[in-house]
Amino acid sequence: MTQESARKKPGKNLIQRLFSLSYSGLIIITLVLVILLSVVTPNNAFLQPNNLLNVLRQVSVYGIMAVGMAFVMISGGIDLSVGSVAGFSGCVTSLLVTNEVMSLMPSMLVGVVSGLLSGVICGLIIAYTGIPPFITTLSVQISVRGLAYIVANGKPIGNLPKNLLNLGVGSVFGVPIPIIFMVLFLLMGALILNRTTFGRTVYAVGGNRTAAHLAGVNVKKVTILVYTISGVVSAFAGIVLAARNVSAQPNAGVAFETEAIAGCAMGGVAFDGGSGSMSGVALGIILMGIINNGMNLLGISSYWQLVVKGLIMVTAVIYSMRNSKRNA
Amino acid sequence: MMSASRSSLKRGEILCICGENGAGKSTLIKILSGAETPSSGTIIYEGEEIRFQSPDHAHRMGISTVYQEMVQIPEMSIAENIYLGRYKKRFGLIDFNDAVVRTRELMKRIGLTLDPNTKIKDLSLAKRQLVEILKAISYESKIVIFDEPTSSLSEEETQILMDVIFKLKEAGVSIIYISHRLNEIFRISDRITVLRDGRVAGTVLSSESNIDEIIWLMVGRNLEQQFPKEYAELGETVLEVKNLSGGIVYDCSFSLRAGEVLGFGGLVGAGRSELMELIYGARRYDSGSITYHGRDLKKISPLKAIESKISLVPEDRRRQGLISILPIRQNISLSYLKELSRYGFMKLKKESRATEDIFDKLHIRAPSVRTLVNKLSGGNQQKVVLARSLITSPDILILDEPTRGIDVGTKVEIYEMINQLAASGVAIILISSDLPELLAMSDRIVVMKEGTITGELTGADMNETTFMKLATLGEEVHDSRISS
Repeated sequence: MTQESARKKPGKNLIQRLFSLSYSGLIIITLVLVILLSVVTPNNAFLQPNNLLNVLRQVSVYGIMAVGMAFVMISGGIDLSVGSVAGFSGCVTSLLVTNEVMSLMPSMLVGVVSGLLSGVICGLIIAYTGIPPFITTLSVQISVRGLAYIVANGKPIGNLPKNLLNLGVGSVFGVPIPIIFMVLFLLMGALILNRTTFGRTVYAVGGNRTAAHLAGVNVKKVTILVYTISGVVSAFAGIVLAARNVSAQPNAGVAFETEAIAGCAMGGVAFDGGSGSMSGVALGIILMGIINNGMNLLGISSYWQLVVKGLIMVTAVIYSMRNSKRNA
Repeated sequence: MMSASRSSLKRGEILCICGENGAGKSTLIKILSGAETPSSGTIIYEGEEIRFQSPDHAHRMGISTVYQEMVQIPEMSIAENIYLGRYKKRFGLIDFNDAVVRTRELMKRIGLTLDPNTKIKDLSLAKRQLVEILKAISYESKIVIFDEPTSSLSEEETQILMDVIFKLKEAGVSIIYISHRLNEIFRISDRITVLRDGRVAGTVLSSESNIDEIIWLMVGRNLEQQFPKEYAELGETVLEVKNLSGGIVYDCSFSLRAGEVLGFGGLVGAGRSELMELIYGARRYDSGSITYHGRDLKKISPLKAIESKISLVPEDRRRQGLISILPIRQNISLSYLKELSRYGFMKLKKESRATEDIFDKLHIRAPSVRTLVNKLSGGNQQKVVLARSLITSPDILILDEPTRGIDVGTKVEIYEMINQLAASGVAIILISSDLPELLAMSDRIVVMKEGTITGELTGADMNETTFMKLATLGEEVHDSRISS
């Protein structure tokens, strides 16, 4: 190799690397959408700082859930119970606080622990019985939703105290608190995935269970832990959701699992496990927000929004699959 | 991948193609079978230039390929697999009987007697391969390409395959045969073409050549010895297995000393891998005992085995060894995460240094440790699995078919590594179906048959004849035990 080409190489690699990221399709789609929206929305409405914050605020609950979902999906599983878990934990926490059984922190803790338990149960069933994650978490989704109706007695729980509401509608230095939570969860997720031994084993289990087992990875433990993480994270998201809605509802979070999965899928998390990153997930979630927001600004009916969202999702996933094939 | 190569094939000829991994064999096959299109150059077939558009196109033109990894539907019968998508129809319905009858006719042609209604999943690997051959004949193929057909077959099964290939040859079919096994190549071929770095390094008449010449053509240099065995000084006994049973493994006892290379031989399915899985804790044993450094190993798991410095390089590197969508580094460090971290957090620099060290030491050919494993050739992938074991500096290293499907050059590197490890006092268990390799590289050989140990070979007894007797007949065991 000549000196010149050696010097050129890194630059070329950077661009190549950017384009070979599993979510590079997403970056392109996002950029195109941002440019398009800033041009076509009346009065430059899209690019207004308030609107941009709004985009993030709208996706914050999905965003938090997607962090847990990413762990599960990278390990090769799926968690359909997240929406129910969010609904349940929102109800439990709100009930405890509004009835003044406990103060806010302990009530939240109970809510989060309920999510933890649900996650542990999912993980145990999947790790020890071999029932597919889809079926297991679907069953848990149904049962937990039932429990949410039972604890809430089928009715919304209103009159939430101010400190709880603050979690959903408050802001710090102008930044809405849900967004701060989402960012914190994403960062924490990235830290765990990239920097811990546990993160390494999550990728290994998703990439090849048999090989991971033979290499000394405790596959069962990893499986249980990823569902536990997903449970905890969704339970927390549920509390934020209740606060944002100004009341906890037993049917809160219905179909949120599809949003979380969609965010992960768009962000390049492989459905068969082994690959994906938090930066990708963050982008996936933001893209979903932009699509919603942009179409609202353009006055497109919400029915059409669904159609378009589906199409964009499938495009992004096709692109990321092609990319990973090309790299293979 | 390939560049400027020229080769030819005559009617009724068996041409062998060999070369190291990454020499371009697979690419050549893909081009010939229509799976890939050449960027330049031509294929002249029966006097005419041709460009295959797809595998189906090649098939219809009379070129069939029997791949290394077979594409069959396990739940379907032999006949169904052969005529899949080409069934004769009667009143719009599939005439299964016609497929069965025609399959029988095909079998007659090559002297096979199998029931066409047998499901693929009930067949041995060797028989499945024969089904692929039947399929090739069913297309009335004029050229049949074999891609390392014997890499997972026993000696006996290989012989059956060879007989079939000779029958095809007699019928005027031309054969392209790709293999790593040099002995085998000389047994069947008329001519041998050696590829190196995507080019033809040479084509020789089998009757006028020898193994040394082929190796020389393959690696471009002389390999002093195909098996550079060195004998290390033996230390104390590190492992003592007594009456171990579990799964198909029955009543196995043996011991292993530091610095020893203990070979495990037997036909495919003799239970060698299964025995190692019991010792390594991949499966639980039912009875018996394992004594390691003087203490009993109970309730072992791969994790505990690795922690107590027993390491396994599994038989099937792609299914059991590698996480191919991850980079080399993550694959190598996987068994060693505890040592490369503190409080659960990875020490990334230490990890890089440790993995790069071993990456260099094993001469893994890849741009860097960040390269994804699925981009590597077979030999380099095997080295990655080895690296994962070696980084844990094991006391006992179990190598299950460590050289299967890899090129001669890499094989020798692995043999040298075995020598070095043994010299440094590592006890090595070497399972191999490559008999010359097993005989040459082991200090002592344990022979297994049908899940139990039938004998042990040392010194002058370490020869093919004695081995085959134990592996097939089980001379030493008198047998009520096995048959019961």
